[in-house]
Amino acid sequence: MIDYPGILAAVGDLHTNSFSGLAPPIIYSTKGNPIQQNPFQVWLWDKWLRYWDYMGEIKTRTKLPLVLVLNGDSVDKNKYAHDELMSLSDTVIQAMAIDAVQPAVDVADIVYVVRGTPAHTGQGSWYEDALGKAIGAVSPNPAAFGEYKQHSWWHLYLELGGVTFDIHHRPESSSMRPWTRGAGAMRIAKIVMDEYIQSGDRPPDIALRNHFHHWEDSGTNQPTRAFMLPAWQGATDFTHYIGMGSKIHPVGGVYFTCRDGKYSPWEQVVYSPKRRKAEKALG
Amino acid sequence: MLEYEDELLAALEEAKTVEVDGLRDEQHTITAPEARKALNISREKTTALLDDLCKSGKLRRDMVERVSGWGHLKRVAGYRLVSE
Repeated sequence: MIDYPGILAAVGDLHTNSFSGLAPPIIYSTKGNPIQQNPFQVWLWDKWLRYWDYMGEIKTRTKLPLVLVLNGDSVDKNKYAHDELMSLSDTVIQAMAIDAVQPAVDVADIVYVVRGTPAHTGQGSWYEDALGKAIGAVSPNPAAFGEYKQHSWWHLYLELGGVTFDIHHRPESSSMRPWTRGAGAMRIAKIVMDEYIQSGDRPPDIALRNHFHHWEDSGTNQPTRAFMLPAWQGATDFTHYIGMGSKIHPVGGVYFTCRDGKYSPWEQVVYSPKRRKAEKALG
Repeated sequence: MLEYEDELLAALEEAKTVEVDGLRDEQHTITAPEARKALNISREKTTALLDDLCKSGKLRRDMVERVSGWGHLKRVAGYRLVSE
């Protein structure tokens, strides 16, 4: 069996349809009203285009196919905060989600869509399944008949170039404080290893998670290496509510060049928004 | 006639149907990155040109099919030539 080499590029938490999330330059309401990006979304879209231009350069340089993984919460119809949504129309949201991921899909050779949080992406994460269907994402049940075929995954156990990946949206653990940074990824690595050992399977080389909107890397401390990826969304009202509004949230993703069972080179690609200048109370 | 319109329409006319393992690229369609590559102009100019051609009714924005390097059929946003 040949292990075809390739690049796996993973991003997640795009939260398209949130005023803090990734949005194409212009969308239209069902009545034809144009809705444009706010200043943060302009910045975010510019970085998104740069990110995929960079991935395109890597693909051209290495002459390897690129596997895209959209690791959950690609779409957002947050059931708790409707006032933070660009549209409430399912039609508009779906069109917007398709537009937002185009720069990534244009570069990709194969696309996998992973399901995220039902509170953001609908029951059964149906928004993400619809997105997967629209862009031709790989189905977890390809033998299913026609409309019964799904196009998104709750859990993606994937192999590329002899490297195995365990991918799902929500992490088993996290570490939210600066002095525990990385500890969550360490716990995930150990949990994933244990799960595979318990079932008599070889633990995966890499575990990828999203959801908490920050970067974590377990490093080489365990045979399985776990990563938590940053989001493509800025601070929401909820972020401020839980006391994290002053934190700067870099956006980005990660790619791995997979060949002969090794993942090298790999790179974390992030962009950090600048902190707003202090408001001068006088003058 | 818009700047680069001729070149873009020529690229669309020439676009051939590609078949790989029973999967096919669609004829007379072009994506924004393909147009940018064919015309060798900036992303902004390409977007403006494609938008203008849609407004004039010569192109229609639609999902189009592309066969990737691995013989996988993906669906991307593209532009379809509107027949006279």
